[in-house]
Amino acid sequence: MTDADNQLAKLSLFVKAERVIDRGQHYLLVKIQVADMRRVEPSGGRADTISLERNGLAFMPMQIDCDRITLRNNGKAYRPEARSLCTGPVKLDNARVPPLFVAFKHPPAGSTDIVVPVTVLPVRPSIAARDPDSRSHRVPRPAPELVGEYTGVARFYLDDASR
Amino acid sequence: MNHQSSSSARLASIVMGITVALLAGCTETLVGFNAIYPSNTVSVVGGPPHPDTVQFALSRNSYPSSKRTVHPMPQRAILKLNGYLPLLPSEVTQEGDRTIIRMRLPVDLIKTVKAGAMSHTQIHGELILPFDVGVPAFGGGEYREPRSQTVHVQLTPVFNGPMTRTAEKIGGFLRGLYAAR
Repeated sequence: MTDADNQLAKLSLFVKAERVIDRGQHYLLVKIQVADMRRVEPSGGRADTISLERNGLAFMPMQIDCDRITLRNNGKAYRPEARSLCTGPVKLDNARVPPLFVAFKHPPAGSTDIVVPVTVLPVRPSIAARDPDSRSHRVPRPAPELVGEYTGVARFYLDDASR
Repeated sequence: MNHQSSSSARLASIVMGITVALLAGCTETLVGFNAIYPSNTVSVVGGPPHPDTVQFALSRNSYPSSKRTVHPMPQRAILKLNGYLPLLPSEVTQEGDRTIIRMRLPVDLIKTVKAGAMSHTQIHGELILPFDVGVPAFGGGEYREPRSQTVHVQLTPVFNGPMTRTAEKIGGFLRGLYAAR
């Protein structure tokens, strides 16, 4: 994750969709977390990655409003169910914050999009970066041009819930 | 004639034995789930099996060692079992320097295991332990950065009944034979 240009992190989100059951009802559970190549993911479900702008020079904190995440399937939009663990806006400060879990009513089989609105927040520069006399050239520096709102889409092909 | 009656009696006893064994198999009861948390870096200790909850103990070793202050948040621990919605603690208690967490297992999981469909299946998942790291601020005090530690979980159903006890006896006998070898 580190190279000569001090690129410390790529702005990408790991999205996993898994069919789950709760009191006889089938749901599609969507797990969203900051992509981290060191993480070992348990088996099951289907995964995709949402990549945002890649030229950040430091980890850019993000905010995701779980209530605004949408599932699109066969021309129909689904809102998160009340069984979701994540509600409202949540800030992802670093790559090791707990994942977000959002549950949707399981859609019919077919191509399914998970639309995630992401707000990239300005990063607080490190002490060394704020010091004009710093001689360190490996200081992570924020990239203000990346701050703003993005819409990430993760795409899956789902089987029927009963299978 | 005598020979015929003795062989039919033997056949009847075998059939009866099989019937008793099958009936005994139906009376196996679910005691609970044995949970193990295999990890090389952190320690999570599973509690005794309980029919509808899973219990585990967290200590200082359940979180990564750091020069910074670690603020555990056991009330926000998440147990995510494959195929089920994530679970939050139903009860968190402090016993000395250990935190005991109990989580109510999904009713669908218990129902499936009781029905025998997953009686010999391990259920896998992950336990997510959120915590804050205290970062000292220059103006004094500290600000907190949220982090999390993830541990793999394996749940194995535990049954009790005539079949289980017989299997335990046979297993003990075979282990004894192996040890005496």
